[in-house]
Amino acid sequence: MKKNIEELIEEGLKSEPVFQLKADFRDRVVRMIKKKEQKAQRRFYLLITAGVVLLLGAGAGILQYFGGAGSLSGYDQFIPYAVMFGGLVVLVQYLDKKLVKDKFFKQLA
Amino acid sequence: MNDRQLVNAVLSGDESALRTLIAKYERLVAHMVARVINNDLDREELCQDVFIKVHEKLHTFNFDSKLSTWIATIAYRLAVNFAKKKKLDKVDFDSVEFQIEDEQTSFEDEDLSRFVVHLVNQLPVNYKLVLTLFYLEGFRYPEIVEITGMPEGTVKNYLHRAKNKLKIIIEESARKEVELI
Repeated sequence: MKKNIEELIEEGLKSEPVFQLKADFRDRVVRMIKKKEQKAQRRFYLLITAGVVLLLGAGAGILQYFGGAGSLSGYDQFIPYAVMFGGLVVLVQYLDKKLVKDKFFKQLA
Repeated sequence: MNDRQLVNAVLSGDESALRTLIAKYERLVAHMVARVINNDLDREELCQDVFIKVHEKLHTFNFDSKLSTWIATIAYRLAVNFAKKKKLDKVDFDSVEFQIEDEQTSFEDEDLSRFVVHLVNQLPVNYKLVLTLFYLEGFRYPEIVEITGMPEGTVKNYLHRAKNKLKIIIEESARKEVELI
């Protein structure tokens, strides 16, 4: 043997495994990450919508309970505003993500 | 682009930065995973899981350590968990019975290198990973401590014991080969 045994062991330990990732590995990972992100975003908007609907429902319920039957009739005019408020919450969240957070991280980069 | 710029670009949703990050560290992850798992399909899947986890947790990375160390920590944990799930971690260092095939006991330099890898593959998971991190990836003791969560003494002990054991087996095999001649 030309080299001593310790050197040869170290050489063996430094040798790379034969395994290589497939050529499309990066594409697949990026695709999976994007899919996961979209799913999370859909879940987020669904939760926000459900929250707004729940709040409106709870508000209507409270008015009915404390105001007696027919008390909602006087609040009909507020329903469009309540819906607009819900929509605004979703819009603010969306704009915050797209315009503020994304820009902030881009500036850092 | 340095690692800080790369991380911030990935966090801002830049897809090409994400590809660059994967390209930069896929070799490290593949090496660690390949030492623990033998099946190529499982290897690919675990490498995917590592990068998905890296992307998921990237916002928590605060540059206290090198990005490579942080990614290796995730790869180490996932690899060890995988080994536990598949019951690959039941091997005890002192009771390892090395299988030595005749064709592998040729002591030309290249053959010995392959023989060493063959022996390393039979070591317990933690030993394999520590050896890979130290010799193949060039991490230093403090980094291996951070990656594995083991005390520095344990890391040094693993490296020392593993190397000694390999030396004894190779010397024994070399003696047997000489006797046969």
